[in-house]
Amino acid sequence: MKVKYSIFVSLIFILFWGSNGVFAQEEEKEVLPLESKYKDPTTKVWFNTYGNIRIGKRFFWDAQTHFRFQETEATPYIGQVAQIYNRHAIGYIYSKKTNFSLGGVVRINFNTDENSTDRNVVPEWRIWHQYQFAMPLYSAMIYHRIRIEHRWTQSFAENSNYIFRNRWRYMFRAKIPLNSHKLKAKTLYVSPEAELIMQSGKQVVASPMEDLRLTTTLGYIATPRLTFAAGMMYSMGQDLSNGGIYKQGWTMRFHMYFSPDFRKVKNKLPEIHFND
Amino acid sequence: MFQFDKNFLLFIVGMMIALQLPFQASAQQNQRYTGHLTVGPYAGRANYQYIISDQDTIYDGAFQLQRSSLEALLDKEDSSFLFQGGFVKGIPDGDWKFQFGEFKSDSQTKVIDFEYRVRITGVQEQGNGSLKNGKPHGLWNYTVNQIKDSEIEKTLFKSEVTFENGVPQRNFQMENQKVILVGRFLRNGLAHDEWSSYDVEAIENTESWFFEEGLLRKIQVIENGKILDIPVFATSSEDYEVINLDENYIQIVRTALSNSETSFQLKNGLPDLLLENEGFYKKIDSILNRLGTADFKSQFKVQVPNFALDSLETKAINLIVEDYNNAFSNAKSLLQNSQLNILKRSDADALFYYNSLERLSESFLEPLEPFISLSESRLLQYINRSEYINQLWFNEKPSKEIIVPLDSTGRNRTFVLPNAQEFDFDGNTLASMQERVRYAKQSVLFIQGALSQQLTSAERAQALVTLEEQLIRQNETLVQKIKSVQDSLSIPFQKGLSKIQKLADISLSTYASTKNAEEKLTYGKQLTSCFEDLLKLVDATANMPEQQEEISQLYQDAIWNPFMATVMDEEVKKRITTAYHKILIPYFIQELNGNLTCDNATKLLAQMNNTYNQLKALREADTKKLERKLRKEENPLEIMKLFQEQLTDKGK
Repeated sequence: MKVKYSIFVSLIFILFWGSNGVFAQEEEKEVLPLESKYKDPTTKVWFNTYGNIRIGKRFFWDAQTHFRFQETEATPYIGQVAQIYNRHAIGYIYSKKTNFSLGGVVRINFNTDENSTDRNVVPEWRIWHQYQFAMPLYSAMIYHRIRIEHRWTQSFAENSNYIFRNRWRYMFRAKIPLNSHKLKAKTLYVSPEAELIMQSGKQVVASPMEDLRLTTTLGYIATPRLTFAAGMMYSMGQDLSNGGIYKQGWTMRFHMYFSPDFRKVKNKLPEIHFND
Repeated sequence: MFQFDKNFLLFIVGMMIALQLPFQASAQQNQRYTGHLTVGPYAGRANYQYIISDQDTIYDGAFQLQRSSLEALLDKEDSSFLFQGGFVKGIPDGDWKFQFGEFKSDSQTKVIDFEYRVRITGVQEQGNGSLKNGKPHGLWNYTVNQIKDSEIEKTLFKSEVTFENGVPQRNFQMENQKVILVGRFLRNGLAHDEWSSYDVEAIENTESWFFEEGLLRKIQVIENGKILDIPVFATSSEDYEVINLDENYIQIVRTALSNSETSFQLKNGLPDLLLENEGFYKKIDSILNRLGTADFKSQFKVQVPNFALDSLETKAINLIVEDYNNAFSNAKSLLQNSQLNILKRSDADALFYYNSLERLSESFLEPLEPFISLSESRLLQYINRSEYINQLWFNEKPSKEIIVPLDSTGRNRTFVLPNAQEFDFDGNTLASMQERVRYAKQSVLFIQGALSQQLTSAERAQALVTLEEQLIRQNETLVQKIKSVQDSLSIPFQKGLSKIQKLADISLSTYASTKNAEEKLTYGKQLTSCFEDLLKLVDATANMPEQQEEISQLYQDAIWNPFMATVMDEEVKKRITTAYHKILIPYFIQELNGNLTCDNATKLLAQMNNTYNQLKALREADTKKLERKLRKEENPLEIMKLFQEQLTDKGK
């Protein structure tokens, strides 16, 4: 536990130290507004599926597909498709409370700017790795998630080049059972979560804080293998082109978590006896 | 080219033969065994020589088997033994010694020279002498000494007999605490001349048996100076037979004496001494025979008159024994019948029959006892039967009319078989004896028939009383049990239990209103087993909620949920548990509340118990097919059948 904790602390440290360096560079070059400007919040709807498919005693296939909608003038509230998001990884279960993943993302970005004459669809590529730690606290569980992404994006403009950035993400989340003394099947839970996403890269001059996400989710564990959740997220972050301008957003999020296990019964048996 | 000298060749051949010899000799040589050996009841440490022949171990050479435990002796007491002698090719031969000891010690040890010594107290038996070809040969001593503090306190028994090839010869002597006996044998082992026995405590009192080549002519008793001659086989007989002097012979002598007109009865002293000696010889014989081939018997021979049985007599005797046994066992069971013993106090007829039975036994059966015993020992052929039968009913000849006193006023009632005139009691022959026994047998049967009516109704009344007590006890238990479990159960289960109680109540009132005693008894018996089932049904019903919980727990698998990083219980084989919780349990409750009867209670109980056990068994079974079949099945009986099929299929 101690080792895991110190890994976590040093990752957090690296994350913040990195972003400080970025800050120092940009002050000289960018022309910033006198006061920070906050754009009007956009509203979005995300439909996310999270698959966690066991492929071995200690390995799983992490398969996530997200459909993200963003409102436009023509399509208020629910909006139009903004991103389709495929995130995959191979996960390693270090213990019941600790797991790591490494994989890739391909995200299809749709141009939601109605006035744009640029391309409508561009792909985005990422390599990501993630370190997740869980800790029981009374009847609840709390989770620390560190996710590091290496991201290649391009704008919708014709023949635009890929730009490379690193993303540094830390998320704190709790899951608190509401109608039970612990997280088990048929349990309703509430999950407050906060995630800070920092970024770095040549293009990132004055906008290291890409996003801060504050979410509250209400979930229901239908079976140990199937959970549904829905929540509301407020997010804000610096505009890449100008660090003085902040984007805001309100997102409704709907999640389905499923974790099938197609292994033969006899192989399944030891799965709960990792380290005990 | 190679030419050998003839002498040289002879030398070579000679050498080869000479070299072979020691090997062959060694193949014949005895091997030695030292270790544990069990011979019958004797287990101890053995040391013996043997040869192997056809893969059999055959004793040959010195033999010793012994056991003694100092530890046991000091602790409590020790049984020791020592058998020591020799064999020649499996047959005991040469000097032998047998020792048996039962010792205690005072647990005081002393060191004398270089030995620890313990004083012992107890009894030691020792037999020693020579054997030839497995038979006693020469002088054999058998002594039983009482030991106190390692010294002989007194001699309890002693015998000295000389044998030649297993046949007792010349003079012998034996004594125990009561009698001293001296006598002699002829060369063929037959008892001969005077065998004198002295009373140890009054040496002037003697009893002498006079044999003539084995035939006991007379017994002379000198008691307090008076001489009494009792002839035994005095008169000559047509045929004689040589037999062993054993228990049977003593019985023949006793019977012969009872035939004679003297009132002399053989004392036990002399026969007991002979039998005691015989017992010791048998003990050694059994040991020797377990080790090899031996014939170690005392082989004291005597002659007795032989009155061969012809086929008619044999047939008559067989009939007598058969009828006697029949009459005896029937009379005994009636006389010991507790119902009859109660009934005779209130019922004059019963008392009359009871007393008649007693008289029948006394006058017809009891006097026959010695005859039956002789017949069973196959000794009747050595008995002068005409004389013997004569004195069997010497005191009182049985009469067909059995007079039984009715009460203290002196009034009598006579029992006589209705067909009494068909029996011929005249004379004292086997035929008349047969008639008497037949009469006794038929009389017992007659009385049995006469009493049976009364006995069965009395028995029935008694049985009803016992039955009712049992039913009441069972009902009380049922009420108590239902009361104790009802509160903890949910309403449907409570209703089921009430229904069980209701069935018990209704059954009891049906029983009470049944008038016919026979029907009542039958119904009552059914009720007791029904009540047993109901009791079990209460248990099964009361246990059901707990069992349901147990089954729910059982059908859980611990699953690791990766999103929660938590181990969670997952219900498995849901179709099976659903069938159990949602179809079978409601069915059982419905059956309880529906038309529960004594007849279907057993079935329901079995279904409940089976289902619970099946559910437990199905947890670990491969039930994929079963689960598929259960998908659409809603009939509880079909579901139970499917469970059963799954488990029996697996059993194959």
